[in-house]
Amino acid sequence: MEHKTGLKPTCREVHRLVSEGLDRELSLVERARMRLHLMVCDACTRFNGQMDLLRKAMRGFPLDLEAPPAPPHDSGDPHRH
Amino acid sequence: MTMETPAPETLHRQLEVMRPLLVRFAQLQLRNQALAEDAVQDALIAVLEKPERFAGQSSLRTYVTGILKFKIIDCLRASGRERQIDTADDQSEDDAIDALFLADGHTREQPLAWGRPDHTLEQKDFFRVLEICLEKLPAKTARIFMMREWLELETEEICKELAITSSNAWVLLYRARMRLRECLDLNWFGNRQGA
Repeated sequence: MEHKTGLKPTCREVHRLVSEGLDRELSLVERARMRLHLMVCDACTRFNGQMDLLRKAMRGFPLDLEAPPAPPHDSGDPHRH
Repeated sequence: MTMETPAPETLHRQLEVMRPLLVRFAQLQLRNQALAEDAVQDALIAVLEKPERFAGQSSLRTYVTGILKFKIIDCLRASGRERQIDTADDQSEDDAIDALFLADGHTREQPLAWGRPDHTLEQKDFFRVLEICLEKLPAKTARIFMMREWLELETEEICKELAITSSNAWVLLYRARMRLRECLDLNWFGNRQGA
């Protein structure tokens, strides 16, 4: 995927790269841009950690988990009144 | 270093415990209760018929999901016309992601700290919330996310089965992750700030 690349990567670009890095091999340039940005950006570093946790959670999802309680009438929004 | 093949009754019981979740996750991908139950049933029978295949070489979990992967792909192939990815809500999805960033590409808000991952992954309630968040994903987004992250299919295989391009797949997976992150922020991590 071609990303619009300015001189310095934005959070928007790095968020995408973090996600795509889970699905494909990033190019050398993409990896370098991402790493340099992560060194100075707390927001993207947190996002990177969140994506890592999400992957670990899906791969370790407990298979004995019982079904969530069925909502009475609606589509399952727990905050619906 | 081979392990004993488990006694048939032990194996049977272990599989019965797994079955409800397997059906729910198959349902997220097939969107059809009867097909999901059939796919899981076929997978469990395959395990029971050849229990020696997994003893000592991989965990029961890996073995079962590995078989279920092929059953789900078979089902998707059989229902070929269901495979088209509906792109009708693409624009609103892109807008939702746009809203998270400022015009200069910086994040509008600092993502929440999610605390210690090992601690989170020990909590069953976390997975209950995650499952509810998975169920709230748009159907096509949920399907591709489950194929990638739960069945651990490579992107190329997913593209082949769903007849989509790889850039299309990356975008859908990115959207799924952004939505799940938001849902977990709201329903799990956000509630625990300062707790």
